Amino acid sequence: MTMGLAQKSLFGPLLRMFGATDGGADVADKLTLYGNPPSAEELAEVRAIEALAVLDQPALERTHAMMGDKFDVFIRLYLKSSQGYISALREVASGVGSVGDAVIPAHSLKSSAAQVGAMRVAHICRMIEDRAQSGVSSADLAGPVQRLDECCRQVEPRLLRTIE
Amino acid sequence: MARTALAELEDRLSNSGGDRPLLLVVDDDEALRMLLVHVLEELGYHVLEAANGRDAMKLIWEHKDRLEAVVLDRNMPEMNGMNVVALMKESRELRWLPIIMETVADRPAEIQEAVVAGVFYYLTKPIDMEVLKTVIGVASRETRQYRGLVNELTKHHSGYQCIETCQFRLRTLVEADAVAGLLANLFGDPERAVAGLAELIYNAVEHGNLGISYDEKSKLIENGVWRQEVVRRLELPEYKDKYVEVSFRREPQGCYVTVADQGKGFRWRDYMHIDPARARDNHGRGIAQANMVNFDGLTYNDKGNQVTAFAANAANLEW
Repeated sequence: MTMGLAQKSLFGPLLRMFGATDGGADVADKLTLYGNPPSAEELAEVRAIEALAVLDQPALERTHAMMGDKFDVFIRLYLKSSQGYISALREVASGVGSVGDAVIPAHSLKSSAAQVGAMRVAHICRMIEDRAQSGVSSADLAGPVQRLDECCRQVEPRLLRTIE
Repeated sequence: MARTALAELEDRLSNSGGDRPLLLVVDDDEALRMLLVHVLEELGYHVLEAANGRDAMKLIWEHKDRLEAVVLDRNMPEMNGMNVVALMKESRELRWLPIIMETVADRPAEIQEAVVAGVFYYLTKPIDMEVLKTVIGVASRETRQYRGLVNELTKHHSGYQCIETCQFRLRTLVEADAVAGLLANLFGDPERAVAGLAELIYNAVEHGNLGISYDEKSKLIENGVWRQEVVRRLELPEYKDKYVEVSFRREPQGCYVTVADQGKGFRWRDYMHIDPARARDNHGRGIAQANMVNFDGLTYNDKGNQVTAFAANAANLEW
């Protein structure tokens, strides 16, 4: 399978999100693995995610103002619970249980992530929730769950810095 | 010494939430639940918590006489939010209790589904302090108003079933409460009808006769001076002779109430159903509730200064 430069540059972000790299045979393998080439909508989705801040400071500050001196407890609770949601999503993506089992953890993490300003996390969760509701296979969730995990890892140290 | 003991007692009552308005927050996410509980407690509420619909239903039944509203997430394990809504709406004792559905702005289909199920209040995520304060405040206020009206209902209904027609003329909100309470007794299900009757008569007084616009009312409620403004306008020369006429008639198929004011009318079609765009507003749900919950039919004249509500005869009257 071969790929034009323009096509590669468009597919790159999507493939990264799905856990792939940009180049050569690996790209071809991943495209084969994930089925048909991505639609314009999927590419737009990827661009939308990349345009979002890893951590939206104004959103985080609003939540800080609401929580006052309990902000640190709230952040630690968020970080702890997000780990639980990701574990649950990883299990579904690896084929344990049914795809529908991803809906609730994705929904819950989406809401709490938006509350702390983790907008990329929230957006990917929404995508996972939508896919799980539409009845895709568990393998179709593997890439987004991996990307979600990466985004959460980016967010965690930034959040911890706000309470140290 | 006695003063100290009294102060201690007051503190205990305060700490136990005995004298604070009671809310229930239902969310499976521990962090969001903590945030909601913290903010609501700061606002002066006593807050119960549940992590799923099943536990929520237990608490709702246990505290149904004191709860002022339920803040409910949609997607939860064991029993989701929509199942809780369905169970509450099926119950005569719980169906009036305001449910505030946590939702996200980009899911209009979900909001629409909840509207159809009878949810009138929405809390968009991420949670915003001002929105939370407004939505909880209006739901809580309407619960207190409803309970006040229900307390006015007569407990002995036997003679009321013999009333075929009757007519009232009124001017004030106090008279509106009294007429709504009295009229509700004529219906097969007084507790269902009372809030709708009060809403329609209030609208006729405040918006119809006194010309208080939707936006004006929003500001008046925000500033805590809505009732004062109604009282002030009632004394003004241009309003002091205006009245509302309310008429009742019983037919074989059910009861009809017509409420007519002397105002210019309004764009009633905009208010017959819940508009998610007004989800943050501190009022504006009453006509939709009357249309969808309190009555089986609601018809305005074209101008909007006369409305007729219809409630079908229930097959299984309990009194």
